[in-house]
Amino acid sequence: MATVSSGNVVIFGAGGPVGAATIASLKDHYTLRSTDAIPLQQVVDEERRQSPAAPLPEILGAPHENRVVDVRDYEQVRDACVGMDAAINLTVVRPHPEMAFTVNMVGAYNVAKAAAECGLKRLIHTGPFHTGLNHSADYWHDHEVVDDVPLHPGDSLYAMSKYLGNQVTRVFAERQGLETLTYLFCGFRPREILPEQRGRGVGSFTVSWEDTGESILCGLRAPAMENPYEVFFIAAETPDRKHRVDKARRLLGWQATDTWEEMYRRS
Amino acid sequence: MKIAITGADRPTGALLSRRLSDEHQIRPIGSVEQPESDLGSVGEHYQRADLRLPSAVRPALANCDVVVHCQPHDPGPQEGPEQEVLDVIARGTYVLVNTANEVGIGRVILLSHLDIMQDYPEDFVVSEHWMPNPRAEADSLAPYMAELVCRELARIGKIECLCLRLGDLGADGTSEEDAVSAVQRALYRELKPESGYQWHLEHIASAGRFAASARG
Repeated sequence: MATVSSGNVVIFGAGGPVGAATIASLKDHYTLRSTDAIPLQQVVDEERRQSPAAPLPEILGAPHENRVVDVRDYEQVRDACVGMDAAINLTVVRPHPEMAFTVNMVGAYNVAKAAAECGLKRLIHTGPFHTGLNHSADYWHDHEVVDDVPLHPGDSLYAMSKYLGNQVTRVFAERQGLETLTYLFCGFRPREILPEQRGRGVGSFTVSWEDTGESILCGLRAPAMENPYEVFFIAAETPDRKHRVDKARRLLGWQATDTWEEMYRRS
Repeated sequence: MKIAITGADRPTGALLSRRLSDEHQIRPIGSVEQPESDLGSVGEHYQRADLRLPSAVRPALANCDVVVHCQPHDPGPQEGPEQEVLDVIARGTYVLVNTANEVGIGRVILLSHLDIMQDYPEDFVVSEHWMPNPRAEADSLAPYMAELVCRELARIGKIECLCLRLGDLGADGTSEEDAVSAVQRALYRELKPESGYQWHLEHIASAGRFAASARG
């Protein structure tokens, strides 16, 4: 059974804002092994926020564990997966010409391989959905784009390296029977809407950081999937109908609580 | 034509370097200092380059018209962990094709491997339209990564890419003659301009289930 209702969960890339939200949502339900390439305490002490409003991770005490893990190093990744029931891969490097590939693709390989070898019940993998990449094969002009649409990364280093990481993960899921949920994100923002943001519109593929943590909780608790590899758009449903987000509601039982109505309605 | 051939330090790239040199100027490129394979008369033009580094690739491709990217078909042993081959092939292909575009090269001939189609049941008639089915192993995934990089860069019109999936060199896979003639055809093959496609894929097998004769 792939459902992970309780037990031990390892988070890779826990120092980022989605990691922070994931820790907040999971900490009362699971024993967490929160990992990042640098100590989480350093992330907090140095206030390494991805953006000014992005959350920082909470440093949890026992029975939880915090650990430095470089996903480029298979032995470190495998050690981190030992004794776990599920893994969550939130690691990402965007502009660096070497690390984009070694973290986003080789790191994905290491996490999927270790998860399969250690017999984990479920892997939640993450990556971007780029709504527009400035080439005519993206889906910028389309509506009702669905979760399972093939990604076309163009020549973007970030999009390409993540795309390859997704494909590597898919192969592990299908060939090794590792049930994998891949979450695709685009825009993040804090839950709080400032007065000057009301009625100013909102991007079509936006989710609050707080809601991302809940989506991970729902992903762990969801029943077994029909296919070993399932892709989900993780975003609020907005009335522009650009992207469909109903698959997450149907299969994960998750939908965003922050729907941005105050932003897309004139007050 | 002036043709840059990657993987020239391995048997497939060396074969093509020797055989294409009768009609073309060849720039063999490999990852080791001294190639073990026989490059014949073009050995003196051999260049070592890590394809992951634009600073190494740019001079290696200077003044070339076409790239024959053999490395994904036969990357050879890598230093370090098994995952290294994924980075070598995927990032190397990404840098190579983008740099080729930057220096004005319009066509890349990618040599991939039929191994990524091998695990379909033996009685299936598998053609180029079938989805690749690599194993969850770095060696098996590497040529698939190269295909995806080239396909996506071709999709946006950055370069023309003709992908030839070869078996192992030899009578049971793809013979040397068939490999050479397939690349020779690819050098001049016109992609149908009315289709708008800049990606072409072909299986090149001399024997076995992927050979044209096996399709009935």
